Amino acid sequence: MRYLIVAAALLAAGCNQEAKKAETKSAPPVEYFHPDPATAANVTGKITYRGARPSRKIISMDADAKCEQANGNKPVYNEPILTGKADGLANAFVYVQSGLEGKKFEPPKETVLLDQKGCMFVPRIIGIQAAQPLDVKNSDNVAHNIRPMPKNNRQWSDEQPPGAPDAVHKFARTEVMIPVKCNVHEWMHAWIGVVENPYYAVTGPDGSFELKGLPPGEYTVAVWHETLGQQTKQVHVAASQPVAIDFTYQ
Amino acid sequence: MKPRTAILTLVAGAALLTGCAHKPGYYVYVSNEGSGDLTIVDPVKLTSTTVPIGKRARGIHPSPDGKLLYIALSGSPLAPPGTDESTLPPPDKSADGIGIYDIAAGKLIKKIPGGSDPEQFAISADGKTFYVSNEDAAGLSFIDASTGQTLKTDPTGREPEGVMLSPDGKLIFATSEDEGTITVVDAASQNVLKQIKVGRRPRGIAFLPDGSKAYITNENDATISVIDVPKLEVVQTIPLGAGLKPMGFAMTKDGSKLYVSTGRGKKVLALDTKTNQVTASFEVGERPWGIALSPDEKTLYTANGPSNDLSVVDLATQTVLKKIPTGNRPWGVIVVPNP
Repeated sequence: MRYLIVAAALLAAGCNQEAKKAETKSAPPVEYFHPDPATAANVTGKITYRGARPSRKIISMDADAKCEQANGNKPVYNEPILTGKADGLANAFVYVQSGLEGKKFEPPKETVLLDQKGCMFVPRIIGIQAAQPLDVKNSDNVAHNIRPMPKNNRQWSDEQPPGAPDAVHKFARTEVMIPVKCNVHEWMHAWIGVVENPYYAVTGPDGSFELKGLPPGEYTVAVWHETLGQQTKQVHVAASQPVAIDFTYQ
Repeated sequence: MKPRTAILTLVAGAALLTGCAHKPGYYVYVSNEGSGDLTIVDPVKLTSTTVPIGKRARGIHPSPDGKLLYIALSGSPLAPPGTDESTLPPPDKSADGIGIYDIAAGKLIKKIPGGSDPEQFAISADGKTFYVSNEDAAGLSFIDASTGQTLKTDPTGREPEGVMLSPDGKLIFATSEDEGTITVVDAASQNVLKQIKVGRRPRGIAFLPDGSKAYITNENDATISVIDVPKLEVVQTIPLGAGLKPMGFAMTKDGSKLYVSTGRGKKVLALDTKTNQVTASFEVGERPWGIALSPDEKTLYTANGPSNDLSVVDLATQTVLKKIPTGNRPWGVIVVPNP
């Protein structure tokens, strides 16, 4: 009788293993969407700022002499509204907010770099695809402790003394934007825009952007700025027809 | 009676007697941020049990009558180091709140809303109101302790953390990590009276028993700010030494001595509050944060986050007697006398 019970248990365990294997096998592979290059089109544009220019403020780093030294003891400015040629607005995050529902895009394997350099986050604004690796680097001769503060993703923090290896993290879900701070240096701030498609850009000093290779369709394109807020526009992309849209902040 | 039976009888009898005689005067309670549970330590046997309590357990305080424990819970837990965050589920805001643990029943009996992502809090003298620091709201919320309703939220500056009620119950102090300030709120009117600039990343608050002075730990400056409470002004900044990260406080009942945990500094400092001089410094464990004194003030307990244990420190010899296992990432420690 005892042998019978043992045999039954072994059989059941074996069956469970088989069931698990079958379960693993039956998971359908993810089908990623690849736009047809023959019909895809680019969306380009410019973000302009026509409002008053706030006076730039010197960041006081006197709490950490090594941070001052890292900047050659020269002043470092906090410039949330950074404009360039012809009122172009830099550091605006442009992305496709809707119109791609149901399409899955493969997360790139290439890392996106967020450096801690001169006791500042560089760059200040970054975009990344969900599940794409983020490489957090400390180029300074001082310890940093990066801490993103997401609401739709898991929080984490990393203390990185000088010379520490880069830390790699991923965000699972769309979140525009995730504020990032350093637990050691309260003036250090960055923002990370996490989206589930490759159609995003951060404007440079001229305020221009380009979203490459969108499939034909109707989209909501959004632009986010850390102090000026968010704007959206509806965009129709016809097959192989480039589209230009501009946004203006006052 | 056979010899073997006699021995067994003796052992059983001794165990029974020990069990009957053992009634510690207090228990030590530890909130565990990582595992979301509560560790209960018997200070006589130096043993512990851990019970589930909710997610991301941090701030922990007894009710004024000592029968309940209130524990800040959050559904926004940190991703464990080394994990792929993209495989983890999103934050669960429904898990946010203040958990109420019945000591006699030995279980969580209720969870009331405590605002978004509550971390630290204080309780009014009558036990009817919680004063909660809500990071998302950058504010101090007044929460009705029976209904969980938010009565009011005062702005504190970004990342509020430490909250403490003055001994006379009239003032609430709340720290803002980002702004390096203390927001002083009138408990009766619930209005902000003043913001006081202290050091960088202020965390813990302790009042002298007579309420004349308040001490603030400034983690990133390795200092303690001393505030003259009637004047609401910083009157002294005490340097502690490079590498120390002052965090939590435990004060003796007469207010003569203040113990300060120093996080990654691994030490606890003893501060003489008459001279505001550090009189002792001793290593206790990995990244001590929450600390608490035994009722006879001969023993100090420190929650050591990374090593998942509680140090039992003999203050006479300033040595660690034992490290007792806790849940994951122990955060707060309190000592509650048994009835």
